[in-house]
Amino acid sequence: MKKRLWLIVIGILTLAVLAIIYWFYFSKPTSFPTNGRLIEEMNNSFPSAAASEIQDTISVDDHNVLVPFISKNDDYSLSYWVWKRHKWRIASIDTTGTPMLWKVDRNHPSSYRVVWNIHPEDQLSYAAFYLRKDRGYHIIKGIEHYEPGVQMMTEVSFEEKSYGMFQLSEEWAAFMDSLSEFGAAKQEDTFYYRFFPEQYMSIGWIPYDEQHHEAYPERSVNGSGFSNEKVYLDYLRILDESEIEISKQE
Amino acid sequence: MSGININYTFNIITVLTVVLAWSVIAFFTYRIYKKQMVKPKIWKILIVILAGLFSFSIHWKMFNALIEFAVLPLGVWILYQFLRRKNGRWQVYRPYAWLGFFANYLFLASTLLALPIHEVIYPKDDPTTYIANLNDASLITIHPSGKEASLDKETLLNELPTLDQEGVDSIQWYEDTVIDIDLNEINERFPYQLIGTSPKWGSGLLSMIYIEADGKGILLSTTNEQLYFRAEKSVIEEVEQK
Repeated sequence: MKKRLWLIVIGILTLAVLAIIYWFYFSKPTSFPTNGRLIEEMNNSFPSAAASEIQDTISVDDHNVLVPFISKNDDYSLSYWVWKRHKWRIASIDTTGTPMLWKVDRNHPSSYRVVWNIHPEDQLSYAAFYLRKDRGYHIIKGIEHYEPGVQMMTEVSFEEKSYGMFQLSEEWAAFMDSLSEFGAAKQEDTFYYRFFPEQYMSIGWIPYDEQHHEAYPERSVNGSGFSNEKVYLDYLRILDESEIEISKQE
Repeated sequence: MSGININYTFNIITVLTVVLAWSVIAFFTYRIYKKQMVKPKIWKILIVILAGLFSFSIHWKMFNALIEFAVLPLGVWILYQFLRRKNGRWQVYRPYAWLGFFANYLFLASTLLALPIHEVIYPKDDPTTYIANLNDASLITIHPSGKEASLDKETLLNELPTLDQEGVDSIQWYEDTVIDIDLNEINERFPYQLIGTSPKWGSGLLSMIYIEADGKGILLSTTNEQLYFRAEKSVIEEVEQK
């Protein structure tokens, strides 16, 4: 009799623990905090953010939200929010609005977003984003390799709003997917590939003003940042037009 | 087309030879067990065999595979240190420990067996080994010198069995492309990539496939080498500019 009672108690406890774990880790996100709450939380955990005005809240998906804001020092900043352990948490704050690559789900390039919040004083009109991989060749033990040069471009307008976000195109994601899959297979397969460096792809950008001249976003590149939760953000380098390849006119 | 790309590739030959090796181990374990008067617990036998596998081995690369040759039976020594304390216990487990060590050679044999079989079933210089299924295939333009183009699946399917293999002339290709390092007018030799293809089932082979500007050259990067093929007809169709 006593034994059965114990079994029931243990069963109920296990269920309760499972329910709490589920609630804590897997339950659906609650509604996103109000702007007032967002400012309060940011300034509490990272006083240098000095947030004063929330510009927008942009959902990437159910669990990831981008919040561009303006600080008391008139910095156009970005904050990244994630739903984790049953709370909306600040993943990262960056008081520079220079474009970043947010790897929302690191293993799936199709989830990647390019985000920015450019200060209006920089007077940028639009930008060209480039996905690039260097051209190269190598010969090892008589086996020849040629690596084609890769360069894909996407243009984005900065006219309407200071901030924005775009998802990598299907083509960009497909290329990055194939590259990372192939890279993983190579590592498994042989140690022959350790002899030369892997050629990595990178994403860069060129900012332009209204006259279609290259511009430098002075006001948007200096600032400070803060990270709380694990979040994968890559800085995107500003490229020079001389680095960009164009089709030869026949 | 969704962003999720389930491209699960596995090497069926390796799987089969490893299963075969384990079956041989199971067979010998059963033989030893039947002969013994004092019969140990099954789970203890399993642990002893796994510990016996642990060894110092020499690794080297042969035929694009990693060969591991076991030299010192470290696992057997460690087990001996543990099991000799109680009288008679080592005698009971010793054959299993050594079986574990000799299993290293069984796995070596399975690797050596898998290689030629894999080679025969999946010939490494045959493009149809790497490009076996075109159902989800498509073309992407990866360089500004490439036109807006799409894949001509039918032509590619017809051309695949009769492609001519040619040498990868890497330095020449590079120098033909980058004539003047200060000039940024560059036409990439391979401005297209073929994506979404699958290799032969069970081959476990992955590759990157580039298509030449004229649509007739296919550059296949495998994990070991690069293969270059030429077709009679172009396998791409230019998309009309609106």
